Amino acid sequence: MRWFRRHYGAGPLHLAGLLACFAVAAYAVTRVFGVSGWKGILLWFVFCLIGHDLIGWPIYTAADRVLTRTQQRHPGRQESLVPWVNHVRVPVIISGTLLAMFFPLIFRLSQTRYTDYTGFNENAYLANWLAVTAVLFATSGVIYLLRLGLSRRRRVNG
Amino acid sequence: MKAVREDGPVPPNRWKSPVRGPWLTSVFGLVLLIGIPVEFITGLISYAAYNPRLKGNDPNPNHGLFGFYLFNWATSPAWLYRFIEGVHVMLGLVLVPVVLAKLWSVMPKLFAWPPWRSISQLLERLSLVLIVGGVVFEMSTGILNIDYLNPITFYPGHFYGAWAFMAGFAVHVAVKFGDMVHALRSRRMRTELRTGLANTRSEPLDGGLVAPEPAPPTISRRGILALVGGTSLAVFVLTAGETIGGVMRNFALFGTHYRAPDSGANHFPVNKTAVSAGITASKTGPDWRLELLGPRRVSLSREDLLGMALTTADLPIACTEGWSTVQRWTGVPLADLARLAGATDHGTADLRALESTGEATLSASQVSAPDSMLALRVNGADLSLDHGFPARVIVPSAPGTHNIKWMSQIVFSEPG
Repeated sequence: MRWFRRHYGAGPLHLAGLLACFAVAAYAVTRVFGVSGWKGILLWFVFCLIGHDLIGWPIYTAADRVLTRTQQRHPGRQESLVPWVNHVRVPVIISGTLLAMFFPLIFRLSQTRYTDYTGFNENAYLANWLAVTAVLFATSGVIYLLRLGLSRRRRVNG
Repeated sequence: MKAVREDGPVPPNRWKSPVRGPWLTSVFGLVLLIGIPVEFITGLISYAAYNPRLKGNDPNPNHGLFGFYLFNWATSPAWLYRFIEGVHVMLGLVLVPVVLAKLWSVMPKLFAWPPWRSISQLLERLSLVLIVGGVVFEMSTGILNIDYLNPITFYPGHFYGAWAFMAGFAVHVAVKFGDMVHALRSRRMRTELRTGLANTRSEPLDGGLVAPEPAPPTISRRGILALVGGTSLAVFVLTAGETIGGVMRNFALFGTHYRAPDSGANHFPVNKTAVSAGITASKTGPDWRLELLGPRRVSLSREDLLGMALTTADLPIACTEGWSTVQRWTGVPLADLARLAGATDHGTADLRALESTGEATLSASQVSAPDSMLALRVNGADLSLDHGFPARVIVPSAPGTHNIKWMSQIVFSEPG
């Protein structure tokens, strides 16, 4: 047992669990081989594996870095001391998540199928998304102004 | 070169977030630990609801051992499929922001250096391929399917992908559960919710997630939780009305069925229009007949059907894509049609639509369920062409695709 631990790095149950896990996954892959679009399915899995970590994450991290640096350079009026960065982040992230989830509707990429299935067209979704985004930014802006007013009053009173 | 060998491609001091840490990761982890098994179980049930063991019903005919659990799908309560599928789709959408937050929170682990210290750790990291790839695969195939964009074959991809994903998920939970509990106990949620930006400090160094040289905080932990929760709430409000209905449907601005054609009795969402199915008025006019095939062969006009004993029931049509609507249907019980064709109601029924636009096999219990009917009217008016005129099948708790519209033929089979 000690020999096993020294060479493997964990107990035998750990190895058994992982082998069972890979067996189930391998069996799932054999099932996919029987499907007509199997190449597409496997390729899509590879894309999903790198989709967030190697494509999405570098992009949104870089964008956030630009934002926080801008905040550092332009912190707003010094006397107010209410940072604005999250009032941009929040609407951008909510609106961006909606875009990432519903881009086929927003950019009308599935127009024919959509019309066949619903009897309507996808033209409304771009307007829906822009309206939701506008409401998010407006709400965030109003809350920022309220916080700004509140901190000024505190400053005057304090 | 020396630095790369010692610290890897991204040295620990390059990570700057002061809020990343085991506690925050574990909060997201706990939500997913509850949510993802619900997704898996509702997904498996949803597949069973197709009654895949009956002829022509199986979207994954080569399911092999993964079909071990299949059972005869229930017809009562009538809202069962609507509920299961509504939970599956809406919870799945709501979990997307949590999954993204979880992936962001563990990014430093991807670049952990050296990549492995033992064989056990190497295998563990390989199993992460299944959960990182798997969770994005399941989310993306599900979402693209409800958005009507199918770059890959949906049913087998989503089904077999779920099994591979859950294999990795089970191992990940087994390995990390203790760490999660430990991390959750390291801080109090109530204290975190009272801690603003000014008092936000890094979690104690853990040699992995916590940045050794953090930047000053720009958001508090409660701020991150509110942001992720708020994004989930926004997704919920903007989609869930599709299945909850009522006033909520007007807010489902990113649902595919928040609008309904027609007005009056037929004013509810359509799945597949008559035009797209090639159904024209001439095919559904006075010459239309419903053919019943059993020990006897019977041909019925719409007037014949309306002359039979009719039943009325409030039943949902619930789509695999998650949307649903409950309407008041009036029609001939399927069991009566079976008897008319000389069949007992203990056999299956093969449904066929005009122009081969739809086909499904109903189980014996679906044929004999009291509210199962060939609907002729909805909400007191004749069915519209888009809703399946002259006649459509409605079966309690069946997936929408089995409620065949524009019916032309029912083949009743004897049991055995």
